[in-house]
This record gives sequence, structure tokens and C-alpha cells, in this order.
Amino acid sequence: MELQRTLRELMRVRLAKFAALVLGVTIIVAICAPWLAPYDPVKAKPWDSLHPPSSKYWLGADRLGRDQLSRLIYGARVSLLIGVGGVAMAVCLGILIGVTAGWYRGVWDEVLMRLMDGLSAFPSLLLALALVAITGGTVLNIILVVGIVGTPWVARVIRSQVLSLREREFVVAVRGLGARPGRIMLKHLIPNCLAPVIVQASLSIAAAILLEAALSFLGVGVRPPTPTWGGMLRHAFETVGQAPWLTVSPGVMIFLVVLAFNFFGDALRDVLDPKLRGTR
Amino acid sequence: MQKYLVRRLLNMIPTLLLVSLGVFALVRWLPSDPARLLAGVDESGAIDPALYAKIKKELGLDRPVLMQYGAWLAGIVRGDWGRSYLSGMEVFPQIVHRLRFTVQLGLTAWLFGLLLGVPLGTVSAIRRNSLLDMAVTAFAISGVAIPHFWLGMMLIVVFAVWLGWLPYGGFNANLFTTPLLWIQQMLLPTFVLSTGLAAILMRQTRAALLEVFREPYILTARAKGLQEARVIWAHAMKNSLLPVVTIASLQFGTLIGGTVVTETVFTLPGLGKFVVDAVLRRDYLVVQMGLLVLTVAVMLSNFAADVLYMYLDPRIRYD
Amino acid sequence: MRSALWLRPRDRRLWCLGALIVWGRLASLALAADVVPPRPLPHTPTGGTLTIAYMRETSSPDGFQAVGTFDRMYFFTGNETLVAIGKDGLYDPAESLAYAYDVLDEGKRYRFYLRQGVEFHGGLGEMTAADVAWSLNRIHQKDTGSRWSTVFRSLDRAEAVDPYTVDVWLKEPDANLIIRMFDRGSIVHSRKHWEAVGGAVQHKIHPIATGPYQLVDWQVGIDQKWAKHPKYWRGAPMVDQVVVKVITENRTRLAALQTGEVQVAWLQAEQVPEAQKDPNIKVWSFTGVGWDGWTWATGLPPLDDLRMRRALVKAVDRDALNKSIYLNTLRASKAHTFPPESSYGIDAQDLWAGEWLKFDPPAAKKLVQEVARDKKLKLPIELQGVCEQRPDRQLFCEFLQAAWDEIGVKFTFKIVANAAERLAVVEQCQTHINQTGGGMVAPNDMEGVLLSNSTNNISGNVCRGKGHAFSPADAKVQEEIDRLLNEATQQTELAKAIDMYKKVQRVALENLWQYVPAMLRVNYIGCHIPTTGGCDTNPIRGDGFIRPGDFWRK
Repeated sequence: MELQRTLRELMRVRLAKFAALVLGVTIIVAICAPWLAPYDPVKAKPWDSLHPPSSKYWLGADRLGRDQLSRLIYGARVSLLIGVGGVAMAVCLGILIGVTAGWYRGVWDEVLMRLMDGLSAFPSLLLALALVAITGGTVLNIILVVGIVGTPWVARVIRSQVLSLREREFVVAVRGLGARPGRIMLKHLIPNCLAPVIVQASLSIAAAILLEAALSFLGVGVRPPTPTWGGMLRHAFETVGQAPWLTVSPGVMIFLVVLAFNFFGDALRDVLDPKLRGTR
Repeated sequence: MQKYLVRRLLNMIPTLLLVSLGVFALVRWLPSDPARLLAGVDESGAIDPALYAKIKKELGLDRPVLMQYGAWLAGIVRGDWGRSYLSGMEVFPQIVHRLRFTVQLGLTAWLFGLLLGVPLGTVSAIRRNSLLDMAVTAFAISGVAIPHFWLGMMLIVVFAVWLGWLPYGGFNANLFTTPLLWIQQMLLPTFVLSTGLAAILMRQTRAALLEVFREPYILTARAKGLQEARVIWAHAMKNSLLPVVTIASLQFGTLIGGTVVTETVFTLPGLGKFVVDAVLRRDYLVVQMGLLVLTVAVMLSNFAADVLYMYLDPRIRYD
Repeated sequence: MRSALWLRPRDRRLWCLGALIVWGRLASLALAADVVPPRPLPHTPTGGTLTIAYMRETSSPDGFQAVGTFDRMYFFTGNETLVAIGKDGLYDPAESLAYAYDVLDEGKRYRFYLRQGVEFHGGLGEMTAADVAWSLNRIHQKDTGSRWSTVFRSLDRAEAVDPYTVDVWLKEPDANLIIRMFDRGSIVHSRKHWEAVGGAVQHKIHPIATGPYQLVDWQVGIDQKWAKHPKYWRGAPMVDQVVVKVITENRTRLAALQTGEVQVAWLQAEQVPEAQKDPNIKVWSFTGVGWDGWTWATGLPPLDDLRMRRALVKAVDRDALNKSIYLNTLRASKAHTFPPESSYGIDAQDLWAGEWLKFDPPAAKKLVQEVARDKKLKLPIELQGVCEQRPDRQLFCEFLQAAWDEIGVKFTFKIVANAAERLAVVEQCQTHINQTGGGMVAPNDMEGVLLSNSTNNISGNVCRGKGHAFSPADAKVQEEIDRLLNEATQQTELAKAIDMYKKVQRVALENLWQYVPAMLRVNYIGCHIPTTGGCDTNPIRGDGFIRPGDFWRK
């Protein structure tokens, strides 16, 4: 009931509709890639190298003759997987750290928060770069890296929520009834913390997708032959004289998806956080 | 207030130590053996074990890891930041040189972002819901979404490759002796780096102004018959600038940390590119020091922003 | 534009070298040859700054310690070898520190006559025989950063006879000594300075040499600044400062050349067509500086089976490779290491275009299935590789991956940042394929990979006993190649030596030994005509690289 009302309000916001459309299409395309992509994204067809956009290759072909559109479609998988997976991992880790820090306080809290401070002080791209250099460029490793980089803000937000919640009457009451800390955390604390986290998660997925694209652009992203949008841009700029159209489509895709997640996050914030309503 | 500041500063120390430990561990974990890289090969093509051992000893790599960490920290304090394994050059002067540039770029982009974001946000708030407002909002939102490397490369292709108006990148100008060249070389990188900040500031300014517009004293001022411009400037702006400035100053640290991609795309002699190159070339000592310095720079920027915030807003009190 | 200078000069070198060797054997008394005057610089000094753009950072501006082939673009700005290679690939006495040499004692002693009045940078005095002898002797010393010990394994010692004469004693005759000296092993440095700065590590960043420019500043990853050496022995250098910049993005490097920000630039294949269309840019090229392809571990199963190796080569369409990755700017090799038109090259069209190696995926697939059946391997056969991150090299690997996928081979590869890292991966002895190229200018360069005791012979040397083992047939091949290479180097008659080098290439190609030189490498240089003098003639030397001292500002 609550969820239905939230969703309806969300849809009222126009930009959220746009965002939902873009994201919806991207997700469906990513899932149905094997059926939607007209060509194999990996198989090289060198005689079609740098083929301009035509009825054969709608968005042109890259330097090894691979269809740009198909690679774009498969690239969506990588971007979404890493974006959503990475942030999901950050949320899980962040909840774990934030709740325990906020609940137990004391030395434990101090240590954890110093750790989070240290982690968040690192420039995220450099940290990700160094970690990928160590662990190698597989999708799983990059998800882990993105997750680690994104953990501190979740932890901090959750922790501050927990700190204020633990003094509330219902929590005190439940404690008085003898409930175990674990149960309290799971049933009472976490559900009430989630609203700001969800909002920020949407924005963080956007940041994660940008991070992955930057890593691929620098040449340290997911290993080939898996197509990634950033990697496609990297190769496209090499031949910008012969095939400028190749530089457009991956950049536009990154832009649209990141934009969509941003809109979605904004709309969520408007809906879930009543204080800010009315400033639109 | 001073007590709070001192406490904040003291709190940074354990964080700094953790950061240094983290950087050290990270680099030790990277796969490569610098002693091997430095030892030449003999007539049969094999590494000479005696030379290898000697180099290892010279680099201090034969000692236990914790001792290496301690020696490294001691070296930092002394000013001996070691030599790159690959080029043999001293790390300290190289990092200082690059840091100077990165700070220069960061400051310029920050100011640019402010000068772009705040006026546009104001205009957008005044002409609310007009076409101009929508255009500005669209620009603001795109600024956050557009990948820096894409924007940078596109600008290079248009302005340097096709039109030839601006240089492809590189930096060898001086603000005071060759100002025109400085502007030419800084223009595109500054623009790219500042888009994110400008976007954020635009929306912040707009939101803050809109909130202030709702306040009763604005209504009073208007009712008194004051000119709109005076209303906006004397009453609205002053009260709404505070959150804007604080957000802007908080973003400075992010800006410093985010120069990496811009410096790489435009081939600029900054610290971000230096560290990226070092990671890609597996020049680990440089990675260690560069990462540490950059992180410390970001932390200090954030601290400075906090101080500014506290100073500006008398309503905030920490205990 | 291909340099058509291969035929004549190589033949000339034959005769020149042959004549000199014969003369040396006959001469019982070494007579000092007439001084060959230094070649004057092509233009009066114009001052200004010459900017050269290159694609990656150098390992060291000290030529002796520079490890990469391509580092020559940097260190030849200020370093000079004892004997210099000319544009025709021959010894060029007019540009050499040693204006003449004699071959004595049946090829076991070379006497070099040094020029007088060659000054080192920085007012460090005149270059004498003591400096030259010391520079050569450090090749075998371990703490000098030397990597040339194997290359100069025939070198015993160098001695200063008088202030301007140096004797080089060899352990055994080596017909290729002079050719070996064209590369950086014979770079002359000041012993006094080397010892004053405290050895190899410091000298690496403060090199003092005899060339036209002296290193002033090195910003790693950005550029090197070299200032003119006013006492340069060939005359006052033509510009005041040379800046060698690193611009890794190929397209932006071309953009810098087009606007004239940069006077001379290295061009990568994909930029060449566009550069050639630009009226302000003169593109020069040089073929035969090596090959691009891959090396493989012929001792690591299943590559120890010749059928497997043949199958992998037969699955690759080299013309398609050239078109897609190199935009038709390279050449699919019809020979082995050297182009057929060179004196050292063979014509192996019968192998490349015939049954043996012709592009034929169905036949290749059959071979793979045969091997899988005989060795009881599951299909697809898995192969590990290593590739450099550089875009064209990475694409090469992706090409191979797709091509081999068609014939039932699954090829996965690691990406590495540079050659040193690549070597580190290869030395773990689990890599089958190593995508790379070879900068091979002279036949003795083949020794670096083909000889059983060289650092780049993975299965034969580095990984022997670590899971790599030659099949009996392959062991015989290695023996044959070793024999031929060692005998070739000890010939005093160059014709006989060349014969043997050709045999080596034939044997190597028939057995697809150690490396597959799929494409002939071509180096391209772009010169900005409106601002740069020296662009009218091909500035590229026989080793495939330019000498910054040849250019001036207009």
C-alpha cells in the first residue's frame, strides 16, 4: 500500500518517467542481449573494418569489423552489472559497518569510522585503478573494487541514522523487552535507515558506471574481448579521423544511463524525503 | 570552537596513519619485483644472484615488511622520499612539481565552476519555470552525467584537431610571464573539470534562492516597494550564498582528487596523471608516494572547507 | 613512401666489409688511415626550439642503459656510438667518432682510430681512447646497467693504445662486430663523469656524452629537454633546444604535428593516411626494421607439435590483419625476419602461399583436430597469452582470439603495461603466446630469440625444465639453428655468413621456430614542412630512427 503510493507519486514526476524509460529499455536490452544483438560482438570480421553506418551495420563497425550496435548492447550488460552489483555490495558492507558502529559505539565505532574516513579520503578513481592493477580486470573484481570504494558513505549515513534511532522510544522499549541486538538491528533499525540509502544508491550507481567507464578508457577495465562502453571509446578515438561516428554512440549511452540514474535518484528523494518537497 | 578544530585535527592523525598503511600495503600487494627490474643480465642471459641480492639490500626489500613500513615513514618525515625504480629520479621534487600544477588546475576549475554555476543558478531561480530555467537545469544536470574523458576528447577533436584553435593539451605556460598561452592551455581542461562543480552549484543556488524567496522577509521587502534587483541582491543572495559557498568549498577536495582523467586526456603535468602513469608502468614507489600525497591533499582541503563552513555559519556550534 | 635503398647499400656493405676484412688480414702493420672529415651539419644554426613528439616514455636518456628499441628516438639526441649507421645501413665514417678501423689478427683484433677534438658535454674535456676503452669494457661489467653482455659475447677487452687509438680484442672472430656496435653497446661516455656522479643510477638521469645536445631536464611522462652542445665536433648544433615530448594518444600527436606545435612526430599506422593527405606534413617511412607478430613457447604443449603451430598460423589472414589493424600501412611478410629484397632476406613465398602456411581455416581446423586426437586433448584447446595494453597490440590479440576461435582453439590473454611486465609474465612459464614484435636490423639480431641460450628463447632457456621441453624433432631444429648462427658469426667471408643466415631463416620458418614474423614492420615519421628544415630528404637511418641533430627551424 505504502509502496504503491510511493510509486504513483514517483511517476508523477516527469523526469522520473524519462529516467524509468531509459533505464527500463537499457535493462531489457541488457538482459535480452543474445536475442537483440544482430551480430556477435566478439567475432572479428576484419574486412569490414571501420565500415560506416549503413543498413548492414546500423552504427558502423569498429576497427576489427565488429558491429558497434551489438557491442553497445553487450556493453550495457557490463555497465549495469558493475554499477548495480558494485553499489549493492557497497550497501551491504556499509550497512554491516554502519549498524555495528552505531549500535555498539565506543572504541569499535572509533576504529571503524577512522577506517571509513581513510578509505573515503582516497581519490576513488586512483584507488580503483590501483586495486584493478593488483587483482586483474574481471567483472567480479571490478564489482568488488567499486563496492569497496563506495562503502564509506553508506556506512556513515547508516551510522548517523542508527545513532538517532537507538534513543527512540520504540527501540528502547524493544530493548527493555529483552530482544537481542541482532534482532533489533534486523527488524527495527535497518528498515528505518534505508530511505536515504536508497536515494543515494541510485546516484551512486551513476557514479559507479562513470567509474567503470573511466577505468576502461584508461585501459584497465574489464579485459577484452568483453565489450565495455569506455573501452569502445578508447579505441574509437584512435581512428577518429577515419571513423568519427564511433566516438558518439558509446559516449551518448553512458551519458543517458548516468543521467537516468540521477533523475531517478532525485525523484526518489523528492518522494521519500518530505522536507525537500516543494522546491522543484 | 577552537577546541573542536584541534580535536578535528587530532582525529586526522590516526586516519592519516591508516591511509599510509593502506597505501603501503596496496603497493606491496602489487605484482612485481623492483629488484629484478633493476638487475641487469649477464652473458648467459641470467640474472646475477649476487647483484640481485645487493640491489634488494640497497632498496631495503630484504627486511621484514613492518620494518620497511617504519623506514618508509621515517623517510617521509626526513624528506627522503626515495628514487623511482624505473627512471632513477628522486620522487620528492617530481611530486612537488606535479602537485603545484594540480593545485593550480584545481583552483582554476573551482573558481570557474563558481563563476559559472552561481550566476546561472540565480538566473534560473529568478526566471523560474521559463525556457531559460529549463535550459539551465538541463545543462546543470548534464554536467554531472557527462563522462569527463568523453567531453575532453570531443573538445580536443573539435577545437584542436578539426579547428586548430586551441592546443591539443600539454602545459608549459606561466600565468605571469605568458598569460595568453596559459589561458589557451588551461581553457579546455578547466572547462571539463569544472562541469561537475558548476552543475552542482547551479542547482544548489537555485534551490537555496527558491527557499529564501518563500521567506516572509522577502515578501515584506517586496511589499515595501523595493526594486526586484535590490531584493534579490541585498536580501535573498546574502542568505542563500552560505550553503552554496560551503558546498563549493567541500567540493574542492573532490576536484583535486578528480583531476586524474582530465590530466590524462590533455597530457598535463599533474599529480593525478603522474600516479596513473606510475601504476600503468608499475613504478611502485612513485605510486606509493603519489597516492599518499594526493590523499593528504584531499583530506586537508576537506578540513579547510570544514573550517570555512564553521566560520561562516554562526548558527552551527559543535561540542 | 617506401625507402628503395635496400638493394644497393646492402650489396655495397658486402663489398665494403669484405674488402676491409681482406685488407686487414693482409696488413701486418696497422697503418693509420686518413682522417675522414666530419660531415658538416646541413644548415647554419637557426636557433629556436625543435619539438619532437613520441608515443611513449623512454626508460633512460642514457643510451647505454636504455632498454627499449624505441628509446633511440630519445637518446640519440645526445649520445653517440663509436661507429655510426648511415641512412643506407652502412658504417658512416663521416658521422662516427671512429673515422676508420682495421681488422687485424685474422679478425680477432679491431683497431679503431678516434677523431681528435671531440668534446664531451658540460666542458668535461676531450674524448680520448681511455674513455672509449672504458665504455666498451663496461659491457661485461655487472653494475653498469649493461644488458648487452650476450650481444657482445665475442668481446674480450678493449685497450687504449695511444690517446686516439683503441684496440678491441675478441675471444673469437665475429663478422658482425661493427653491426653490433651500431646499437647502443658502443655509446661513448665520459669515465670521469660516470665516476663523479656515482655510477649507473645517477648517470641514467645525468648523462654526459658527445652528441649535439645535452640533457637538461627530464619530466617523466611529459618531456625531456636537451640544450645545444656548443663544442659539438661536427659544428654548432642548428637549434638551441630540443624537446622530446611524450604524447601517448596517437590522434592528438598528429594534431600537434598538424598545427606545427610539434616539428617531428612518430606516426602510428592509423594516422598515416590522414597525415599523407595534409600538405603541411611530409611523411617518411622505413621498411625492414623488424617484424610484428608473436613469439611462442615451442616447448610448452601443445605447441611442441609442429602441426599445432602450423594450424595457428594458417588460421590468420594476414592481409585482413594489415587492413583492419594497420590500415594497410605494413606488409604481410613473404619472407622471414628480413624483407626478400634485402641482402639477408629469403624468398619464402613457396611456404607462405603454399600448403604449408597459406591462410586456410578449414585445413587449420583439421590439423587442430588431429593434434587433439593424438594427444588426447579436449576441444577447444586452451592457450594462454600475454599482450601489451597499447591499442594496436591489444587489437592484435583480439584478432588472434577471434581467428583461433574459428578453428577450435580458445585463446585467453593477460594485458600488461609494458615490455618488462610482459617478460615477467612469460617467465612464469605458463604462457604459450607472447604478442610482440622484434626490432631486427641486422642478422645477428636473430640470435636474441633463436639461440638456445638467449634471454628471449623462452622454452630453450628461460623455462627449460619448468614444464617446457622440446620434442625430439624440435630439439634437432634448435641444434641446427644454434650451429648455423654460431658458425655464421665466425665467418670471415661475409658471403658465407649471409648464406648461413638465410639458411637459419628457412629452417626457422619451416619449423615456425620461436617467433612468427607475420607482418614486416614499417616505421613512419611525420615532419612539419612550414616550420622545419631537414624534411626534404628521408631523415631515417638504417636502424629505423631519426637523429634530432639533423633538423633545424625555419
